[in-house]
Amino acid sequence: MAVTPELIGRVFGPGPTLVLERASLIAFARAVGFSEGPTIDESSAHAAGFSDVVAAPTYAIVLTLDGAAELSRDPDIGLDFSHVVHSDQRFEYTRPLVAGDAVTVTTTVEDVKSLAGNTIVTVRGEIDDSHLNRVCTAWTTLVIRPVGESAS
Amino acid sequence: MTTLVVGAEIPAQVVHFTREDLRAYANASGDHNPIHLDDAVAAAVGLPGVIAHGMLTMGHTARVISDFVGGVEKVQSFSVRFTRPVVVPPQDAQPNSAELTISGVVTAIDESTAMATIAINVIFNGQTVLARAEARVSIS
Repeated sequence: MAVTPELIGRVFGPGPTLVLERASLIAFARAVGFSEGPTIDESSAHAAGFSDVVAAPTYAIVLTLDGAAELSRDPDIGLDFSHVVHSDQRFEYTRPLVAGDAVTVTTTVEDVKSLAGNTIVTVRGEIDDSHLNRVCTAWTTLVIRPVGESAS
Repeated sequence: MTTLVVGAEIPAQVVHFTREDLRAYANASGDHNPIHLDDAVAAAVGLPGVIAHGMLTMGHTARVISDFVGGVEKVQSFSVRFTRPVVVPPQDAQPNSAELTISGVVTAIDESTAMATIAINVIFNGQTVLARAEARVSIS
């Protein structure tokens, strides 16, 4: 089996509880160009009213990408990420992620379709905190190109 | 808080992506897809070269929006479509980076919900690399 419409509705998780590490949030923020402020510096975060450093807005992808990777870890699906191009990304936040948050991620295959010989899959990753409150929902759409075919 | 009005523009900001930036993003994000790191793999799957993670472009764009609105916590939604690959030249090439220009404009204000909508444009090699790029931000 590959990535086929039969996968629509398939749910992976919730995965294990992940505690967000300050160093991971800071490294991510620096990698996307933050150099100061509450995403980098604990005292700035405190001054802005947060308990610890705040995640950059797109940090949620670090958590949800692992859920999407279930499609490659599942031997029955066998998605090869070298043939994948990220086509769409959307985040909806209830609140920002903060270092020390304990969260779980639930991944749902929302859509699978074929277009011009490619397979297009949309997965929804839901990040919940330890009070089971939704923190962020991330939708990731991937285009899977057939093996052995060149992109234009 | 910045007073946002419809038509207010985010001043264009130029960012450069090098291969080292892609490695740093791969390490920070855990996305080690070799199409962002390895010329041979990129060529083998038919890409025009090593390409930047779409999420690196989106991440920098989110930073620009956050700075404009006065805090990451004000960004309540953000969505993009990646329409063109950002090819990043090798470290020994000249130039050895991809140059992107990020800009945006406030397209709507909803006073009742205290939310603004910002449309984003990112240009690489004279062409936009994102479509439907839009953020909703809190203005309260």
